[in-house]
Amino acid sequence: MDCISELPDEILSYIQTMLSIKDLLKTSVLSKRWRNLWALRRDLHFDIFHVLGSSEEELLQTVIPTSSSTIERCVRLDIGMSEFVKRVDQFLNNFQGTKINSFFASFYSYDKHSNIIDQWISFAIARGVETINLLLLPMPETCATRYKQYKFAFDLFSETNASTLKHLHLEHCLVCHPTNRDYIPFQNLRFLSLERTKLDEMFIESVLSNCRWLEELHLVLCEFRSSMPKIVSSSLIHLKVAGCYVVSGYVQMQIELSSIDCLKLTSLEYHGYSLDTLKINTPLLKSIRCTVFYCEDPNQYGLFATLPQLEIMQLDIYSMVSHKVFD
Amino acid sequence: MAEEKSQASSSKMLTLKASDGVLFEVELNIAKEMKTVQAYIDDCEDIETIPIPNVLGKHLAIVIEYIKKTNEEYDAEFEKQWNMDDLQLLLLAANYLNISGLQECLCKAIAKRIENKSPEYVRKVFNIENDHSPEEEAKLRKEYKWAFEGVDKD
Repeated sequence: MDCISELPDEILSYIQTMLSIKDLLKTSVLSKRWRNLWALRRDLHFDIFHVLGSSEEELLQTVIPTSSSTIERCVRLDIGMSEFVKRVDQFLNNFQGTKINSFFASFYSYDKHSNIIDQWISFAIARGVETINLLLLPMPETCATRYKQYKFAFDLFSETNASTLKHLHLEHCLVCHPTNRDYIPFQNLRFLSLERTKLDEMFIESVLSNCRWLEELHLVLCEFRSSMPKIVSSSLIHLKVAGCYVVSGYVQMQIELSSIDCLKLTSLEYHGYSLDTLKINTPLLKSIRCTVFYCEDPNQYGLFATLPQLEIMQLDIYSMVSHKVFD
Repeated sequence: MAEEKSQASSSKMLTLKASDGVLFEVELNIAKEMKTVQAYIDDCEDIETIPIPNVLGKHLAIVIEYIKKTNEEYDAEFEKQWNMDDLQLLLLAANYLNISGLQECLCKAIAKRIENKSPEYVRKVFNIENDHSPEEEAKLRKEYKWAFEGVDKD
């Protein structure tokens, strides 16, 4: 009888990509062929809620903070994270593919298992990964005193220089500059997005000067060391900066974008306190969307009107009547 | 004159002959969605009847209907009408005829139907011969013990 086994490996492997990790692992016992199909998988996707599964209520309650006591919640989160790390590690130890296109992981930002997680990233880099998305989740506030955030260390890239990496997105972690400050390994990066990360502004400036093909940069709700980085790039096309700040004492202070020198920039999106001190060199800028909370002198926005390619300008100033100018 | 000619080519009809001899007359632009058929036409322009030796009339009819009607809504309801055997045969047809949209739709449907099922169930519906030795299988089951728990009853 004609059946699914007549289909080529690529199609069966494609069906496998639509299965949960649990179902995928079960296919390994179907037959030797199914066991070996794993190696064809190019996109690795690990979400703590999927890996722990919906039929395992005990573990699920671990990761959804319910009404149990604070200490119990933290312990369950700990158990959940440990189980998640164990299962993903198991999967990767058995993965025999030689090329990975994308690595996506979503779990709690908790540095207890950092060594193992760093190994996963190195594993992906060694297999030529092009996209890394680490959408980490914040630990619940009640557990905040007991943990440190996961540190994404760029030193991980120093051995292989990660020349295949084009797209990197990080959330809720600390970003650690490489020990050798002059060496930025992933020269072919096209897209970098950092959200709710804590980092040094000099690192962004190094990335901008070393990644000569970087086209898009997002800095959203990031905590910098002492000031906003200067955005200088000959390749950047899209820039988004929103809600960035520094911490002084225990107070968060919004910081302003002050310098953009990007000859190819065509779109700018900015949400912050003000843009009063902004100096720009962006002759190709077509679209500006800004929201600011304070504006000393609205006429200073007239400088945008001198941009020769400008097509759209949307400006919302919260402390005054909002202006919308479409040209 | 040129107008007439282009009208004629857009409504040109082609005949597809299924493995059991059933004939289907389809418009050229429908037939072209099947990349295998497109390749046939590219090779011999004057052809009028194209043999489809791997696909039964019953399934070819479903495939042609899919190409005519495909959209988000249709695709969402499409797979619900067919049993597992038909889904597999349709996927084989879609793969042979090289229709990527239909292949994707069917792969999703098949993946959904084996969600949380036991390996025994999957082997049965896919007609897979187990060539693992008992020791190999036991080793895999032990290694991924957690994956084999909480499975639906067959």
